[in-house]
Amino acid sequence: MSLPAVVAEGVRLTVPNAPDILAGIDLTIADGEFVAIVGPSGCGKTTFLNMVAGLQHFTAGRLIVAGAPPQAGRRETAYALARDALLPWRDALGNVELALQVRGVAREERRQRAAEALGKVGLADALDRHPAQLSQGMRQRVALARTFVTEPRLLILDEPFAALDAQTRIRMQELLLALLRQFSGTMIMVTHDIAEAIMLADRVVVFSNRPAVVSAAYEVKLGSRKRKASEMRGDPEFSRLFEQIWQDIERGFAT
Amino acid sequence: MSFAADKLGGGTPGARGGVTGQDGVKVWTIRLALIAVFVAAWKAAGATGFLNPVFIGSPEGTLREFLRQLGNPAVIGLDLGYTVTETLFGFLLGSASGMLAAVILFRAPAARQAVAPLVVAFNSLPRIALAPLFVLWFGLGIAGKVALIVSLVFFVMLTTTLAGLTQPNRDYEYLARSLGASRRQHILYFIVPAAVPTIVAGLELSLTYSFLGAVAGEIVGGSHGIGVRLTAYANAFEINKFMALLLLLVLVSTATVQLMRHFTARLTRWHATEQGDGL
Ligand SMILES: Nc1ncnc2c1ncn2[C@@H]1O[C@H](COP(=O)(O)OP(=O)(O)OP(=O)(O)O)[C@@H](O)[C@H]1O
Ligand SMILES: [Mg+2]
Repeated sequence: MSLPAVVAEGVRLTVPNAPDILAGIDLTIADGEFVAIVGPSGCGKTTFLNMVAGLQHFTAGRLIVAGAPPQAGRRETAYALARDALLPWRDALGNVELALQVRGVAREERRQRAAEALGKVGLADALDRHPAQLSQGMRQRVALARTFVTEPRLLILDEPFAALDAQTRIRMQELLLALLRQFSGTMIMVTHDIAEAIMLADRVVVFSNRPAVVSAAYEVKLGSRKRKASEMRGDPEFSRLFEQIWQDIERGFAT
Repeated sequence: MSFAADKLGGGTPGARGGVTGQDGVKVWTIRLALIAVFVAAWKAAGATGFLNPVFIGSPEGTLREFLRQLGNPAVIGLDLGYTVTETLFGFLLGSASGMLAAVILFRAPAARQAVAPLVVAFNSLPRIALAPLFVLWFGLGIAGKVALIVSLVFFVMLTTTLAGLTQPNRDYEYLARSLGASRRQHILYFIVPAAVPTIVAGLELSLTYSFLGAVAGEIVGGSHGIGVRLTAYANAFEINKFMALLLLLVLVSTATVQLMRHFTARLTRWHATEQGDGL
């Protein structure tokens, strides 16, 4: 067995003059596993991702990412922030290039790779458009391309499809599913959409209300990763899981 | 190269700057109508005796003097030349030093905190009050006016540049860190481009202030310049000449500001698009 991608043991965040944010997160994510985190709004999901990405400190516990303490800017990690965080002064190509530019990839190569990544998310003809000229769905696809272009081993996605209409959202989920089929690394994704969590992950982890703990976790046994989103929705196992997770979040605290 | 060559020059197809077509015709119609109303009211006020023409001149008299002064080398060459020279020197010196000081303070947060109250204090001082002092120090020539302009523009550019560079954006900060950007890359790819629209707005304001400083400095005390001539005309009740010169000054300063806009437009086009002109 290779090293787990993420090991969290009692990861805690206390802040002065306010209730604790994380009460102690215990979560081990195997190398190559796809994990979705769901939980009530404001419970600390983004905060936990920030910690895994090495952007935020925790006050107690132990957190190990790929065998080492978390560190921002690791080459093998790509973090797609909750809001797309596209730079408005760069066009789509420039935004995707950025990820390679900070790594010192030569101009020709990075332009080619960025264009390729944008092609994969269906934006081959929007390379020179600026974020203000892109729809919300297109912006999120640019952000996805920027996340994948560095060929990460650990993919961290924070609500990648928030603020999309239902139909666009489903198309985006199909797109991500297609991208993930060619991806052999580890994925951690936070989402508010339970169906999305079941569809894209091998395991769904439920965070409790603030102060957050992991209140439940479910293996998704719906066949291999070759599954198709539309087929899964009809599966009785899908409905059962959906109902169960819904209840968990409703209760806020399942254990 | 810096950010300018980085990506801003990429062009923004589909971005609309200013007004076009039908809207353009409408805007120009309104503009010309406003000018016509103003001229008519001015003419009527004098003709009906509502206001004394000795004090307000007349539109046709002003136009006549305006055309006449264009052939007068003492106006166009000497006085306008003085004022424009002072303005440009003061603007360049003041904005360059102001931006440089801002960059230094940006890199040294402790110094920034230390000087912040001093900047506020100096900025609240009506700088025109310093003009007599500058006449005393530098005489009636160009140097005193340049000093006055620098004292205005330096602080405008210091504060706007610093505000642009220090505007907080947690998303960019997290993105930069998660991508593994170095401090230098963070500044070059995130902070500076984000500050450009604020800095450009500051430069535009500074250019207007530079004309103001030059003319005001000349009025307080100078050997040549538009301000000197304006004072002379007013004292001699040459209102038409006064108005004609004022018109010339407005045209020159407007043209200068427009020229600068022309060169900075591509730097801020993304910002204009962001502000709701996109798609
Ligand atoms: N270092 C900190 N100091 C104080 N408060 C913090 C800190 N870090 C996070 N918080 C707070 O913790 C709470 C949890 O925020 P977080 O964004 O992680 O929730 P979330 O589960 O992602 O919510 P959502 O589902 O709405 O995105 C927020 O109220 C946030 O302001
Ligand atoms: Mg969140």
